[in-house]
This record gives sequence, structure tokens and C-alpha cells, in this order.
Amino acid sequence: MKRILAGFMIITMCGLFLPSLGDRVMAAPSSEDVRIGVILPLTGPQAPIGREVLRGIEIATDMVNEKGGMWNKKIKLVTGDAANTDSARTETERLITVEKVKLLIGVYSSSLAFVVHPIAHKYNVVFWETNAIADRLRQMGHNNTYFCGPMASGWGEQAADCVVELMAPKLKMKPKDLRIAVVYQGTEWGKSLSHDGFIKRAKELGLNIVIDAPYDPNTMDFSSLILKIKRTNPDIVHTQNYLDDGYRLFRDARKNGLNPKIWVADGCPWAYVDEAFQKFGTDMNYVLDINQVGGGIQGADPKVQAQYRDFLKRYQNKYKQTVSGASDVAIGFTSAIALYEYVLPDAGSFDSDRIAKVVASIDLPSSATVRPGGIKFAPSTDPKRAGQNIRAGIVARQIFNKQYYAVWPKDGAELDAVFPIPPFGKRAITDAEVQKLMIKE
Amino acid sequence: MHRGGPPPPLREIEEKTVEIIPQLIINGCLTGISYALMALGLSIVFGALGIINFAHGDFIMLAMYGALYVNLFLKVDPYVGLLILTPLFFVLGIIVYKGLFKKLVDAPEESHIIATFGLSFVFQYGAMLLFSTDYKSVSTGYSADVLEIWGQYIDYPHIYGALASIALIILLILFLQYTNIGRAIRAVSEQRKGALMIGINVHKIYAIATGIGLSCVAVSGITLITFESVHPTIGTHLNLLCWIIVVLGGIGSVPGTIVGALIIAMIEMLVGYYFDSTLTTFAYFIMFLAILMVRPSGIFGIKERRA
Repeated sequence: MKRILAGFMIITMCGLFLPSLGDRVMAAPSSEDVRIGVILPLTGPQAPIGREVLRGIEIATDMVNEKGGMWNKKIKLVTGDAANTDSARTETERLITVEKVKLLIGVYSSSLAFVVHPIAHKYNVVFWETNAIADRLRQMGHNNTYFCGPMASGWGEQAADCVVELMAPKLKMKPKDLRIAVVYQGTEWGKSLSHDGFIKRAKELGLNIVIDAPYDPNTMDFSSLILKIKRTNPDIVHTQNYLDDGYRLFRDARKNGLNPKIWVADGCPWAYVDEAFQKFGTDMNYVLDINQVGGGIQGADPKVQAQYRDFLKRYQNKYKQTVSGASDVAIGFTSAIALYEYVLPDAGSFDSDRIAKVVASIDLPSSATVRPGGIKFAPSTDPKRAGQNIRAGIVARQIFNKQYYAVWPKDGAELDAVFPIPPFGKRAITDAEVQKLMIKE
Repeated sequence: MHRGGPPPPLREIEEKTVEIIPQLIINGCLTGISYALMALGLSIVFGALGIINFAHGDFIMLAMYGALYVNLFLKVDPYVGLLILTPLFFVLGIIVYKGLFKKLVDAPEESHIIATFGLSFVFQYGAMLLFSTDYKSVSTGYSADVLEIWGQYIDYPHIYGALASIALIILLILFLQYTNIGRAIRAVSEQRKGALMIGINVHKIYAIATGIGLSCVAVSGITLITFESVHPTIGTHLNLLCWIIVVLGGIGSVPGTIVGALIIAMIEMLVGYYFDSTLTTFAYFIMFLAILMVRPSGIFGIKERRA
């Protein structure tokens, strides 16, 4: 009996630590490499997203290495798996104390960032954050943490502006007459984007929020919430969710006949558009996705455009699938490229003070990146947004036949948005019809 | 709950609140039946063997992948998978019993927890290696179909799931009540020593009970894949839900499992609609604790069980 138990203890330990074992073996310290730690959820429920961010970082690293690397050395990525908050803590400690990395990139999720960022701060290691958007992360006094994407409240505020600038005119309604349901995960991420950002700004703009509905993301059936929303007869349903809850919410909206004039998916679930179409078929058409990447790239510098096209091609060749407009892989790529091109060459080392000086000097217009907005970081003394890229923006994209088309902001729009959307079951549209909606340059 | 903006007229809301009750009950019943089916296998195995199985949700995950690949490779409806997966999971149950559970039956409960947690990790990481971490689902001809009766909406995947669940529950009750093996399973559940004394081959009955439990898991996985996405860690959440249902209903009791599942689903619906959707899990945990304070062995539980 004891032997059996011992065996299972070993299996359990293997299960816990096997994913990182390979990296430990592969990442033997070498003076020939510039070693960068990557901490992302590579197993667990958020793994599909973490894996995509990692792929983006890897492609950026390959491109830089092919051109001579960094400081005349090859960049070597050392990965850690942040499957949950416990493994995020131990893996970050391992990367810093065992693997001796001096700079970390990741970690995608705000809930993981609350665990990981303080550890990097404790060891004075620079953290280059790709995604985590919760506002409070910028207010924790972590001087060496930099945020590439928008912060949640700013994201939510811009999404409210999108209602006024895009949705109301398309529906031929006055903004204040629109009935808006706001539905989001009852997590810090959800509250800071939807409640503290979107709803706060919506009220400033005089918009009519008919229901403010946070929910438990572990809910298996959202029918009761959907029925409650349906009762308010909304014109716009603004949702913010991850994969599982996003799918269930959409499924139960269809099941219970909730047909608003606009369905907004603010966050990530529709980034995995193939799976969403597999699940919902053409009912996925006309959904408005809001994300931090994926607008038209025509406004970017030609060199930046060429680099991004190279990235798209490499991704397609390596993984035999398209980036589908944009997704977390593009977030990983653009975040890593910003680090490799605008920060590390001038810093000359991973010294946190030198990096801080370089970051403080960055002042790039929107043409410097394919993401909306440009790059300029708030100083570490800013009490509310320390280390935040204050120019990071969002883009609204309408989904048609597994493709994303940027529809807002106006200067990056590729397609003339179609609202109100047809009810469930009547959303089939041909590619030729979609092409007719494209904005001629 | 109504915040921000001018509210709709009060009378209109009150009328709609009353009108919605049948829809909430329908949704609660359909969700509850699917929960019952998920928990049934756990109830049988725990009831018969007394083994605390923390890998139950992961067995459901494996069944969902099984149904997914039946659909992908054979190009048939996932329910055709019943013909393949039910016997396959019965055999898997026998193997799991002989390979692991047999050694755990007489071991302390801590050993059950450690061993089945280990099994859970093996299944999860194995699934990641085999199937990747992507979310996967099937699309059937009826995935988007909704039946509307007197203004109430019911989706076909849940209708078919409920029919499969009811059929399985009836078969299971008949099997346990009217067959010799069924009676033997109940006998070893209630009085293991007594069953031994009258000549029942306890280990054979345990193996069959584990097989039947995992066959129920197969049916549950097939119904779930028609309206849920599968990914390697989906079992973690299902496991907790199943345990709450089984303990609430009374360990080893099929009617208890059904009642427990319906209570949990109804609480989710009513709290989500009339109060706050962030409180659903909190609410059913409160109900769970309240019932256990009054009836520690669960609603249909028996106070003194095995000898």
C-alpha cells in the first residue's frame, strides 16, 4: 500500500512540475545568451491564451535573433508556467533565483499579475507586462513594471466612446436613448474595465445603462442572467468575459432568444474565432469584438507594416493557421518587439535604472506600432498609472465568416459596420456581401 | 437589480417577473438533470466502495473528448457514441478498480484523496499532451435549435440531454432494485461484512459498480459535449459541483443525487435572476451547509452505513 501511495505521490509531483522540467534542462545558463524569462499560463484554463502570447514572443525573438540578436548575442527565452496563482508564484521565484533571469515578460492575466509583479519587484527585476489590464496593478508602487496594453478603466472609457461615435449613429438613435446592458465577470478585471471604466464614462456621456450585471464566471448556465437582461429590453449588450463564460453566455442568449441590436464582446473569447464558429456557426457573424490589437495597419510606418506582415506569414507557416485578424499572439509579438526595438538596444543591459531611463525617453507616435495609439509610458511617480503606456488604445472589429474587420476608430476602419444585427438564426452572409462593406481606400 | 438610467415602469417589471417563473423552472430542471447525470457516477462509486474520488470530473472530461472524437472521425451524432463509449468506460471502470481502487478500499481516506488527486493530474496533463489546451466542441444539426412552447424557450441539446439522463436514471433504478447484481451492490454499500458473510464476492461487485459508475460518466460526457466546450481542466470545476450534489443528496442515493442536483440548479437560477449573478456559488454553498447542519448524512443519506 505504501509503495502505491509513494508511486502516486511521485506521479502527482511529476504532474505538477513536468511542464517546467524541460525548460530547466534546455535553459542551462550560458554566457553566450541574453536570457529573458517568460511567465505565462501554459497549462490550465487560460493556457490557450498564454500559449498564443508565447508564440508571438517567440516569433519576435526569432526575427531579432536572425538579425544578429541583442547586444551581439542570441536572445534565449526561459519559460515558466503560471497555470494558477500558486504555480505563478513558484515559477516566478524559480525564473529569478534559479534561472537568474533579469527581465521577465508575461503574464497576461490580471489575477496572475497580482502575484507575479510583487515578486519581480522584490528582486528588482524588470517586468514587461503584455496584457494584464486591471487598474490597481499600476498603483502598487512597482517601479520596474511596464504595461504595454491599455489599462482597464481607460479601455472601458474608450469602449463607451465607441457607443457614441459608432453604434448610436449606425442605429440612427440618440446616444442617450440607447438602452445598454453591461454584463461582466465579477472579478477585479471585470469591475475595473466594465464598471469603473465603461459605466463611469457612459454616465458622463449621458448614456442609459439599464442593467449593471456582474456574474460568477464559474456559472455553468447563465439562463437566469440572460432572462434578467432580456427583461430590460436592451439595444446593446456589452459583455466582458473569458473563454468558458463567454461561450456559455452567448449560448444561453441564443437559447433564451435574447436578440439585442448590437452584441459587444469586450475582452478575449472571440479571439479564438475558429472554435467560436465551430460552436455557434453563422450566429457568430455581426458580433462586435473589442480588443487591444487588430486594427488596420495602413497607418503604420511602411517598415512596421512589413515587419508585421512577416510576423503573420511566419505564424501561418509555423502553425498552419492564420492570426485571424489579430489575437493574443499579436499582443505577444507587438509587446516583445517594442521591448527588443525601443528599450533593450539603448539600455545596453538589464540594469533596471538604465531601462527606466530609456523607457522614460520613449515618445512614439501611432505609426511606430500596428497597435492603436503610440508608445509613451507614464512615470513611476504617477500614483494612478505608473509604468502605463498612456497611448495604448483599443479597436472595435466586426466578425464575419471567421474574419475580423476593424470598424472603429474611424481612421483605422476597414469595413463599414452593420447594425442592427439580424436575430439568431438569420446571420448567414456571403464573402461577396462582406466585400461590398469594405471601405475603399 | 436595476441600476443606472430610468427604470422601466414598475408594473411592467412585476408582470414580467411573474411571467418568467415557468422559464426559470424549466431551465432549472434541465440544468439540474444534467447535473444529476454528471454526479450519478460519483454517487454510485462512492456509495458502493466508499472511495473519495477526486478524479471524477476528469473522467467526465475524458468522456467528452471521447464523444468529440466519435463525432469528428465517424461523422456521426455524439449520441451514437453511447454504443462505443458506454461499454468502453465500463471496461475502464473495471481496469481502474483492479489497478487502483481495489488497493484503496481498505486504506485510510487520506490515501483516497492523494491517489485520486494524482490520477486527476495524470489525466489533465495527459489530455494536454494528447489534445492540446484548446477549447473544443461539436456542432450538431440541432445545436442552435430552440423549441418555443407558450412563450417558453427550450433548446434541443438540453432536451436530448434531459431525455438521455431520465432514461439512464430509470434504467439504473430498475437495475439496482430488480437485478441480483443491483441488489448485491446495494448490499455491499450498506453492510460490507454482512454481504461477505452471505457469500457475495465483494471485489467482483465493487468492480462492476465502478464499471457502472464510469458508464454513467460516459453518458454524461456525451450529453455535455452537445452544449459545452471541452478542455483538459474542465473536470476541476465539475468535480466540485458533483461532490456538493452527492453529499447534499446523500451518499450513494440515486434519488438523493437527483434531488441534490435539482436543488443546486434551482438555487443558481433563482439567485441569479432575483438577486445577484455573482452570488450563485455562494448561495448554494450556504444551502449546502444549512442542509448538512440539519441532516449531516444528506437529504436521502443513511446515518449508519458500512460495517
